[in-house]
Amino acid sequence: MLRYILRRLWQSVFVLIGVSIIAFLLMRLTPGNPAALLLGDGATSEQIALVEAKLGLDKPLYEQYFIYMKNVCMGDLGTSIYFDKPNSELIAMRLPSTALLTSAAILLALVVAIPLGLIAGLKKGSFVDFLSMFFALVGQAMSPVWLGLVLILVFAVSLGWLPALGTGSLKNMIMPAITLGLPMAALLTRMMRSGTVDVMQEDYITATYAKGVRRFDVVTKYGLRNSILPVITIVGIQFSTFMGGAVTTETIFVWPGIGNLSVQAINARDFGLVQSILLVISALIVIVNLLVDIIYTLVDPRLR
Amino acid sequence: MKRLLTLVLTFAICLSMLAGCMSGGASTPPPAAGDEVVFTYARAEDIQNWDPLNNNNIVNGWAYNLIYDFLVINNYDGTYSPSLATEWSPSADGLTWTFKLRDDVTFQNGQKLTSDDVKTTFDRVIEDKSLLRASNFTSFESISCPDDYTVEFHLSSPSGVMLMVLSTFPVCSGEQWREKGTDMFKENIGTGPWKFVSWDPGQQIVFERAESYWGECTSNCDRIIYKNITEDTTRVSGLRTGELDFIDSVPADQKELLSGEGFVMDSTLSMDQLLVGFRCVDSVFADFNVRQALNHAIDRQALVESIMQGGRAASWPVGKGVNGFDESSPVPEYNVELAKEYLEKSGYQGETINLIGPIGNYPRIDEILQAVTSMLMDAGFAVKLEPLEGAAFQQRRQEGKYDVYITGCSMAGGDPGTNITQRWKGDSLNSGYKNEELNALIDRSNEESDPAKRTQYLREAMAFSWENLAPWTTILQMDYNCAYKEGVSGVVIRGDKYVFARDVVKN
Repeated sequence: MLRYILRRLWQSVFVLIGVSIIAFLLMRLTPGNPAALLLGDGATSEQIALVEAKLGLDKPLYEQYFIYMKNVCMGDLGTSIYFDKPNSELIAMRLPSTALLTSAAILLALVVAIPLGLIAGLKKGSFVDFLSMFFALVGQAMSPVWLGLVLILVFAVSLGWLPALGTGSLKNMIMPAITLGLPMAALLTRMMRSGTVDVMQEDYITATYAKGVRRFDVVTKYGLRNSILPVITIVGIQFSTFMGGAVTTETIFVWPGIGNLSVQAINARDFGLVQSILLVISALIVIVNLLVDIIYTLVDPRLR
Repeated sequence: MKRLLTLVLTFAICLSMLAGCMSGGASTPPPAAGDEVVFTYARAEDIQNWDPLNNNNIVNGWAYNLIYDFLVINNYDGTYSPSLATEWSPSADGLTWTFKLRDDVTFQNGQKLTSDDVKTTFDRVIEDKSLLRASNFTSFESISCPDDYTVEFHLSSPSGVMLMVLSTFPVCSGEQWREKGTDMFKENIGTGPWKFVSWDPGQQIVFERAESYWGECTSNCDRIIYKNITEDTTRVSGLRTGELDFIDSVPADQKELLSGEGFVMDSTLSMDQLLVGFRCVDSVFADFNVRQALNHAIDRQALVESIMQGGRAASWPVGKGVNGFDESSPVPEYNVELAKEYLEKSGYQGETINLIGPIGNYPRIDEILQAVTSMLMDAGFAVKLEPLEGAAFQQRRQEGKYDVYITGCSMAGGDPGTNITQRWKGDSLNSGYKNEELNALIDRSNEESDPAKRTQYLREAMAFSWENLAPWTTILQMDYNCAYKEGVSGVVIRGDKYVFARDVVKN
C-alpha cells in the first residue's frame, strides 16, 4: 500500500508540472492585458509598456514561466498584481471557506442520498422509489442561481430565519450548503438507487439470503458496501469540482471562497494569482483522488 | 462498514473544526458588542490595493475619504473648499502653486502633518512614472517646502486641473513612507476621522472611529463595514434583511419596490454616460456621413425609457453636471429616414460593421447593445454584434480591431479635463482620430486656471467633438441608484459614484 501511495505521489509531480504549463499558457492566450487593465482606459502605450516592464510581463514567455516555477519551488507563489498581496495569503484566506462549504454540501448530499437511494433501490417501483426519482429529477434540473435566490427570498427576506449573506455562524452555512448540495444529493440518490437495484439482483446476494442471513445484514454488509462504490467515485469528482470554486453559490451568498477569488483574478488578468489558484487546487484534487482510491481499496478488498 | 462510518465521522469532525476556524477568520464581521453602532455599506466593486497613487478604482476613493484628508475638497461645482490647505494661489504664469497648510493636523499615530508629508506623497509620482496614476501628474516638475506649513508645486505648464487632482489624492505620512515604503499601505495611517482596521480582499473592509481626529466628525457610528457584493439581488436582499444599511447600483426594477417597503431611494443623475466610439480610420466610420447616419439611427429616448428606466438621453459629449456641459444642446433627432439619407450620401456599400461592447461592465449594456444593433439595421447598416468580456473588449479596442463600440465613460470629480486629454488628444482608445484644432482647444482648457474661462474653453472643445461626431457620440446618461434604511443620514452621494460616508449617522 505504501509503495502504491508513493508511486501515485511521484506521478502527481508530473501532473502538477503539466497543470502549471497549461495554466500558464491558457492565461497568456486569453485576450486581455493586465497592465492595460490596471491602468484603465486613459493609458497610453508608453505607460502600458512601463507597467508591463514593472510587472515582468515584457520578458519572453518561457522566462516568465521559469521565474514563476522557480519561485513556486522555493515556496513563493508570488504577489497579486491586482490586490498587491501575496498570492499564498489570498489563497489561504479563501481555501478554508471553500473547504467548509464543500464539506457541508457533500455531507448534506450524502445524508440525503444514501438512505433515500438505498430505500428506493430496495423498494423498486414503490411510492418511495417514485418520490426519490422525482427528487432526483427536480434536484438535478434546478439551477443553483434560482435555488439560491429562492432560498434567500423565503428564509432570509420573508421569514427572517437565516442571514442572507456572509459567514461567521452555522446559520450562514445552511442556505449555501443546500444550494450547492441539493443537485449533488439528487445525482447521488440516482447513483445509489441504481447501484442498489443492480447489486441486490446479484447471485451472491441470493446466496446470502439462502444461507439465512438477516435482510438487514444482507443489505448493510453485502449490498450497501457494493452499491456505494459509484457514489464514492462521484463524491471524489464533485469534491474536486467544488474545491475549484462553486462560483455561483459563492457569489449569491457572498461566501468568501476560492471561486470568487478566481473570477476576480481572471477578470483582472492577474496571471500569477490564477496560476497559483490552479496549482493549489490541482494539488488538492490530486490528493483527493489519491484518498478516493485509498478509500476504494478499503471498501472493496478485491482492489487491494 | 465500520471503516466507512469512521470516515463519515472523521469528515464531520473536520467540518466542525473548519467551522471553528472560520468563525475566527478575517472574513468574520466584528461582534456588535452592547450598543455599538455599525454602518454597513455594500457595492459591487472592490478595493484594488491601498496605494493611492497606484490604483484606478472608485471604491479606493470612498475609503480614502474615510481614512485620509486631502489638500482641498471638491464641491462638484467647479469650486474647492479648504481642507488640509487653508489657502492656495497660482503664480502669475501659472507654473507655481502655493498651498498654506493647517498647523493642527495630526496623523492617527500622533505624528504632526507638515509640508514634508505633502512633498513626500507627491514626489513619488514625479519620480516613478510607472505608478498607475502617474498620468494625472504629467505637468508636475518638483515640489518645495519653504517652511513646515507651506508647499509649492512647480509645474512644466499651467494646469487647469490642479485643484481637481489634489482633491482626488490624499496626503500620506512622509515618515511612514521613509520607514516602510509601500508596506505603509498595510496599515493605512491617515489624518482622517476613520481608522483602517482590516481588509479581506473581495469581501469586506472594516474601519473604526479615530478618536484622535483633529477635525470635527459628526458621525454617531463606531464602525463602518464595507462589503463587496457583486450580485445585485443579494445586495437588495441584504438591505431587506437588515444586514446592510446602504447599497448602491440598485437595479431600476427594484426602485419602486424598495421605496414601497420603506427604504429611502436616491436616484442621482450620474456623470457616467454610455457612448458610441468610432474607429475613424480604416473603417466606414472614417466618413462623417456614416457617423451622422448612426447618430440619427439611435433612438436615445427609447433606450432611456424602455431599457434603463431612468437617466436621460444624451445631448453632449459629457453628461449634465460635468464641467463643460451645455444645457442648450438638444438630443440628436431620432430619424431613420435621415439616417438612410446620410448613408446614401456616404461611401457606405453595405459592409458589415463590427459593433463591440463589454458585457457586464455597465447596467443593462447587453440589452443596449442588442437594441442599438437592431436600430442600426433598421437604418440600413449591416451589423455584426460582438459582446465581449471586459478585458477582451479592452484589448480589441486597443488594437483598433473594431468599427464601432459601445461602452461607458465616467468623469470622476465632475471634470473632464484628464479624461478628454487622455482619450481624445492622446487617443488612448485608438480611434485613429487626430485633429490639431481639437487638441489646441483641449490644451487651452487644460492650461486655464480661471474656473469660468476654463468652463467656456471646455465647452468649445466639447462643441467641436459633438459637431464632428469624433471620436465618439453619446447615447444616454445613467442614473446612480442608491437605497438605504430610514434613519441613515449624513451620507453624501455624488454623480461620479463617490459616496462620502465620513459623517454618517445611523439611528
